[in-house]
Amino acid sequence: MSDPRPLLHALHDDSGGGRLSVSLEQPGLSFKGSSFSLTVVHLNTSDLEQIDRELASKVAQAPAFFQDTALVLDLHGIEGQTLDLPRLVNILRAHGTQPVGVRHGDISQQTEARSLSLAVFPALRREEPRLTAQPGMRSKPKIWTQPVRSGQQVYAAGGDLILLGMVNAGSEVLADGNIYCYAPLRGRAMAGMKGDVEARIFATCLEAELVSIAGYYRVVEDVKDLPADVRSRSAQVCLSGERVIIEPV
Amino acid sequence: MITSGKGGVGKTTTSASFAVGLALRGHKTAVVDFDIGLRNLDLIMGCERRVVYDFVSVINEDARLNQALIRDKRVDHLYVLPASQTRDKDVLTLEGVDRVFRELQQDLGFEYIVCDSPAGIEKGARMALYFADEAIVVTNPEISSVRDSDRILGILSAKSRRAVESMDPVKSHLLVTRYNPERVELGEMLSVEHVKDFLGIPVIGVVPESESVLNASNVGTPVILDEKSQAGVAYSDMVDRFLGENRPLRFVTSERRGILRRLFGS
Repeated sequence: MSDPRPLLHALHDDSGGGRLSVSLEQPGLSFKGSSFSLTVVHLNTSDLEQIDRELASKVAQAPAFFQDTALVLDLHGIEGQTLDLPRLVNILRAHGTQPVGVRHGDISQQTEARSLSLAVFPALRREEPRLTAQPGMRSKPKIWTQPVRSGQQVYAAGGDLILLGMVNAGSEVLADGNIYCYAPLRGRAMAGMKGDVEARIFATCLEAELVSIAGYYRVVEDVKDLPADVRSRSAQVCLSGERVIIEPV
Repeated sequence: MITSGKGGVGKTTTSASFAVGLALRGHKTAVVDFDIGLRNLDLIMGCERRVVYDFVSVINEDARLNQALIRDKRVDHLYVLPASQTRDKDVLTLEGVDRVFRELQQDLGFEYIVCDSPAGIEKGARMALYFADEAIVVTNPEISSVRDSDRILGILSAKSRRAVESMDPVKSHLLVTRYNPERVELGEMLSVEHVKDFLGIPVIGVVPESESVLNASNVGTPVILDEKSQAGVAYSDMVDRFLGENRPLRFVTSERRGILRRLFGS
């Protein structure tokens, strides 16, 4: 026998004559997740002449960008309108792009897309209104007098957190409202946990490892990285746009 | 309760010397090894060959408490309750430990029970700290030891019986061991002040880094009995402070500076 692995043969013998070659063959398929960047084209009209014209001028500006670019057509803006999808696809191809699928659109548009072998991508989740805490709904502040030690977590749900003992490195203090700390703040402090961008952190001795307002955070890798006017001094942390600002008070 | 969170910082050395110190001052003291499976206390106490029964056999009611207690040959009023080398730490139960402690206090009249906690924050350490009235937190002047001590202090304030039953909190003391004033001055080691500032508990003692600690462990004589060593003296001071005496801290400045200070009287 020419097979160099007789032991495996023996093992497979009692499977009713199954061929060893099957188990040694490379699998024909292997599945791996991967992400691609696709360009989404929002259609605001079903007028194909206009689309053709606009596309031609866009492609003329940046031919390399559109060459073989995979496109997803977002039909949200023309739901319910009559659209000659086969012709649209031909126009897009003629300009060198590769339409690969559609998103949104009404049922008949999606059915037509499937018949053209275009993928129908899941609908985009509508943006939820950002949660903003309502001052009237705040519960009364939580007052914490003990030190908060490494590994401990103190959370003031629905309101402010007032800390009278030190907050040590490796601990976490969290509040839906503001955080006030009247002792060294050395752990992680997170205010506005439910998305209140107005929330602030106040500390009499700021040495925090991390500060965060409404999910926007700033890591302080080394206390020495803090500007001298706020390091180990009275300071406040607030949000300006999406930037976490640390400033003296 | 002698604890630290981190291993190798000197819990067992401290437990042995602290218990000897209390006994030398006339208090009936038992020192209990909670490090089931990794017993060391009996080695440092120099009684490992006299271990017949242990803590676990008492918990399991295989032996009576006074069969397992080993009386120290050097110091009166001192008894060792060794850990089991072969058992698993899971045999410890709160009920069992509670029963042993009650018997030690009420039936056998012990004034102090010194618990040598295992490292870590697992079951053994939690058993050791649950019944604590006072805790001596042994910390080396380096950041990971300080952080682990902080973690243990947090657990003490949340998971001890005093916390669970809303009694006065466990009284915690900071003992800094392996202290080297020269290295502190060079900025290579955290200072006592720094450690105290971070942990926020009062200092009960500072034990200098010393070869006599290792020597004492190897011969099974608690270092407090070595009155010539700085470490031994530091432990003596610590016991006095624990009992309410006022003893200024020693060995916290380097030798060189100490001499200069004496010369210039500053």
